[in-house]
Amino acid sequence: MNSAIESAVKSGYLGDSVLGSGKAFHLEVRRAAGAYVCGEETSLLESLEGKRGLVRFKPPLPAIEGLFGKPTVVNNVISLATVPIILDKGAQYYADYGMGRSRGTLPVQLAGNIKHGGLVELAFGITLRELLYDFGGGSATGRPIRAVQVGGPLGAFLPESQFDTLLDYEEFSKIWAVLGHGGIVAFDDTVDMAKMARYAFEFCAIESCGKCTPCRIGSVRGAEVMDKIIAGKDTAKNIKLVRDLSDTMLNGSLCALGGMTPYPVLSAMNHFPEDFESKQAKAAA
Amino acid sequence: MDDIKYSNTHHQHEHSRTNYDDQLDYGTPVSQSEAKVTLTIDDREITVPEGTSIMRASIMAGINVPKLCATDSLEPFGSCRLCVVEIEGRRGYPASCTTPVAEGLVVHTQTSKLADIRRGTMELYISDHPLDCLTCAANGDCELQDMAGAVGLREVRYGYEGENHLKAEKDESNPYFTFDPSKCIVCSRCVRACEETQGTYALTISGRGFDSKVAAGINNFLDSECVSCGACVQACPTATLMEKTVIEAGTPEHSVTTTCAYCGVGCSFNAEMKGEEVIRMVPNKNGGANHGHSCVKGRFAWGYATHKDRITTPMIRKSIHDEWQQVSWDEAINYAASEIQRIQNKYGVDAVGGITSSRCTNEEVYVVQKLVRAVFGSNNVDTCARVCHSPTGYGLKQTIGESAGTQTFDSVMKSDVILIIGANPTDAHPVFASQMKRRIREGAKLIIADPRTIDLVASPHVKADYHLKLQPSTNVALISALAHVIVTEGLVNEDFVKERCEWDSFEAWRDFVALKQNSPEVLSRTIGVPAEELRAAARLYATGGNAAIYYGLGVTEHSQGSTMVMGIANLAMATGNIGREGVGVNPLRGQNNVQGSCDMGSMPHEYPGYRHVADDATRLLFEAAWGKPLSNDPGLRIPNMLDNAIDGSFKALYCVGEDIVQSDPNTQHVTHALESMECVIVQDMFLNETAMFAHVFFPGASFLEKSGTFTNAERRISPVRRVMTPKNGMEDWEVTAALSNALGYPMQYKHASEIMDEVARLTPTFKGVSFKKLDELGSIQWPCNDEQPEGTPTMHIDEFVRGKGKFFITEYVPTSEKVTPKYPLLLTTGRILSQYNVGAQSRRTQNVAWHAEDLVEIHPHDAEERGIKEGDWVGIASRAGETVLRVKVTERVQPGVIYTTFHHPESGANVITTDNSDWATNCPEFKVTAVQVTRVNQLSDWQQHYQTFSEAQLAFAGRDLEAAKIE
Repeated sequence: MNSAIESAVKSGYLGDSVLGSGKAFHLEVRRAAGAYVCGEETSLLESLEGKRGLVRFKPPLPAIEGLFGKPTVVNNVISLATVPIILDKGAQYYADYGMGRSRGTLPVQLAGNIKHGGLVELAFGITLRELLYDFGGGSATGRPIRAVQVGGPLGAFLPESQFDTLLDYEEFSKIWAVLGHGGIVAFDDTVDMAKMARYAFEFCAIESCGKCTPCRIGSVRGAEVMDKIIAGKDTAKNIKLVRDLSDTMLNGSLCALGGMTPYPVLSAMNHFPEDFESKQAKAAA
Repeated sequence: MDDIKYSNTHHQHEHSRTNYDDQLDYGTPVSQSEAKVTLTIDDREITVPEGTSIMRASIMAGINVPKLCATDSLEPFGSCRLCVVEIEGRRGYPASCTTPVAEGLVVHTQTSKLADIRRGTMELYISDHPLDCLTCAANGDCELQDMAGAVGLREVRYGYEGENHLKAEKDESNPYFTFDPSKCIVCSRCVRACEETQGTYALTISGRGFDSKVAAGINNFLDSECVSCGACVQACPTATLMEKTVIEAGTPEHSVTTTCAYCGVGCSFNAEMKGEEVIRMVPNKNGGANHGHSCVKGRFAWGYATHKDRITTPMIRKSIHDEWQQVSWDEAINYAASEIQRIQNKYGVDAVGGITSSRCTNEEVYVVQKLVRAVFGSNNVDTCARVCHSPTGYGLKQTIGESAGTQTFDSVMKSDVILIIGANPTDAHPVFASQMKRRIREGAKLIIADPRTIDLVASPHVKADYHLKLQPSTNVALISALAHVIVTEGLVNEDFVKERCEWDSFEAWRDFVALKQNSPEVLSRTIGVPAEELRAAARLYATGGNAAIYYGLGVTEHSQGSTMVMGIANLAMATGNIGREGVGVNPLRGQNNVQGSCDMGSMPHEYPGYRHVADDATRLLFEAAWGKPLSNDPGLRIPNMLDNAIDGSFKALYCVGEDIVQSDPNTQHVTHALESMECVIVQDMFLNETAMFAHVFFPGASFLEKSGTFTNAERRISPVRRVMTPKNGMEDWEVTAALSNALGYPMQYKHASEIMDEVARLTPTFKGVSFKKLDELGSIQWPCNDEQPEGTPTMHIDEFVRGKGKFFITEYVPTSEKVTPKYPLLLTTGRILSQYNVGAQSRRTQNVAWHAEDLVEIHPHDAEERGIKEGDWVGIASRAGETVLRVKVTERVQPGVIYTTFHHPESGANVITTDNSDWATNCPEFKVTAVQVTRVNQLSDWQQHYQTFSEAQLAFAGRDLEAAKIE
């Protein structure tokens, strides 16, 4: 990236006067300390200011009061990478792809237990099933795909019954799922969804900035309660507790890290209740 | 006396204590916006300033939203998530602390959904919290406990076997408070208080997620940058940061608002008590000077009041070589009275005088000067301001007409440029320094003129734009150079000068400073600062917006101290930086009541209110009120008293609360003078250095044991309230009144308030002041009169007190105290945060953990040249004397300059300082002494003599050597 910037500056595409236009445009790469939460826009700003990657409350929105207190536009890489094609072919060309309010394309990352993993850039509107089977070729193990997690580690798990959902932000919202950055992780029928729910809490605990209480303590307690469920202890009571905790995190967290951890947890519980409820019987047996 | 009765009657006024007595926590700071917004919260309509948080608006409407991480001294943080609310038409559950009000909002603070979220969050908190409420030091004073109750938490379903911090180790390194991380809820209030309130940035959160924990430096609180101001302890909602006294004694049962007896900031504190025992001193959030902040001295270092060294029984003796005899108050007072009469009969009226202290209350000072003038029959009364801020009194009176700072402390929040000259606020005026740092973090520019690199030159998030690191003694050259730039570069505010000042005096001054001899280029070498820097600093001061000057003893304690004060006033007048908020001339007064003791007429030439003794109208007023003929000749200043004692014409001294042997220059001259007197009467809490030369000892009371008032650096008169019975049996003004009665002049005050009533009757600037009004308003900044019935925060608004401001020509005259081959270094003296003045109070507290001895700071270059290493003993010799101190090698001082403090008597810092003094006021030139420094391996002759002498003197009083010996 730095050498690309360097050659762009040399060629006059970046700098104090882009192609002699008198308009300045600079690009600079800042290396952060490697925290997931620094992908959250306000933590990212804190990190850029040289501080701990701690989430800020909003409002004020970064566009009003952002980096060093100045108005700041924060875009992710997908948005920036889309700029050249729009400038090249025009807005209409780009808008002609997609469906509903989700226009253009999304580079989907197919991963997990999938025969043909990798990046697939597609217009919005394709079904999940087409992606998994036509592009991904089904599971790598050859066993049925039981669940997919869409939208990253904080995305919901979708069961086979939802595989016909169209890739579209609104369609996903309707089924309490998120498309997010388009990451898709597939699992075959050997997956233990209780362990996946536990992992969601663990991920949150590892990546939590520690500022707000629901995320800081909730993620740790969530993993602990899941351990009890997995061990078959007081299943009904503990499932209720995980649901209550999820509600607290969902509604009480300061940012999306704690606020979305309940997506994988609750979707796993809702779509695969047998993985949670069966433990007590197994433990007893 | 009958203080209890008095306070009962005055408690009748309590209903009128509205704003100033409001201790409610509104969660987020007040919004300064003028625009108003109306919204509905829980069906109540409320109108608040724009920018107010929903939390604050709710609490203003009487609706208590649950909260833990929010407190109104700090910016909102939004981490605890207890204060969530529902807003109609908006998604989710926003935190009310971080969500500003908007017109027409309909907010609900209590719904079943909110109750679930709050209870769920609280359940998480308690799953990582010890369940020892009943044995916890914060039991009954814990916000976590309160909130657990408020949200209705009934069980913690997670159990307690999960990951937790319950075994986290306590940090008890700070002598005054304990850090118990097992009780921490990571609300960051302590970290934010350290940043926002104190501005030290000593605390942080280390680790992340569940591992997040409060950390002070690498090891512990004592080793860290922490200055023990107590802001974190104050902010902590749990028992995590807790005063050790509360851990030991339990929570206080009642509280009395009073005023700190340390520096001139004059912080208001609530003395939290158990019966007659102080449990803790808590800064009063409605304190006009401190707004709920404090420093290590006022907050924690009050244990001296009950220290075993206190002497509580009167003592007399014929000679200073005799043992002390403990006697009754009657006997001591009658003996003192008979000695005064004997001496006046034998040597004349002028053979007797009095010295008051800036540590006394206004009422005490007033009765002492009244005793001297009406009973002793002379004006031989002086005060320790002689050795600190007397040039301020003189210089400001001459130029602008009033011997006091022009501003209120809060004014600094409107300053754009802050010029600090010869002051070290973070050490000497720490609470105001915190406010100043806040303004600097907001973007105000900073110019510092100081020979040393004080903390404000570069500290976290504060950096001086210019540090004019001048040579000691060149202040007047500096101010002339700055003035030269302003005059010759057309930066004078001529409209202001024309309207507000004497034009003739301005022209004369302008023409003088414009002379080439006053240019930065010519004076640069003398000052030791590059000409370009002087020019840039002058331009910034003159053109940077509201510019305020803050100065300290680095201005006054010079042979040209008064000249410099006038030079400062000239600069402010020429640039129009006076007469509104954000600007002004601000002397930072050293001690708690320097301003007040001067106001009260404790100087030999002035009656209360700075009226000259030669002014017949004033004299007649006081003669009528006091019923005695009064002298119209100015009396003796302290140096005159001492010189006359050595000459044999001054024989008796009544010294109240002041320790001239330690605090005045040229110690050996002072002790020689005292030895030459026949009756030295010392009134103090301790057998101080001066008392070792005394014949009568009147035990004094601490500020906790008496009623009165202190007046701080911003002319703020604040009440000192008696919270415990005087251990010595009398308040100090009662002792003076008893002495007066014994001398045949009745002083019949029943309470200190009656003394203030007399001051108010006789002093126009105090006309509207009374204890009753102080109870109602909390504090009052004089002038307080019919035009300004609630006091005057900013002075000289429409015109100067003297009418037109007057410019004075300030020609730089080098001091006679010059470096020579024999004395090639310049010694300058100062203060340190943890200790106060002569240390009589602060040395008798655990503040010695930070400053157990006075060190001499020397630049590495000068140290190397002399083969001196860190920690070595060095002899410091001047033409006045020699003493030995341990060395600290540091670049805080510049080559050629050394620095020390004078908090410990055995240091003998003033053995070296000379009797050079300010031409106008005799304020000693403490800041400049030519010295030589050499490595030594034994104490100086003076110190060896001191050890023997003080041991003997303490034995005469039946005491052990209390001072730490030098090993």
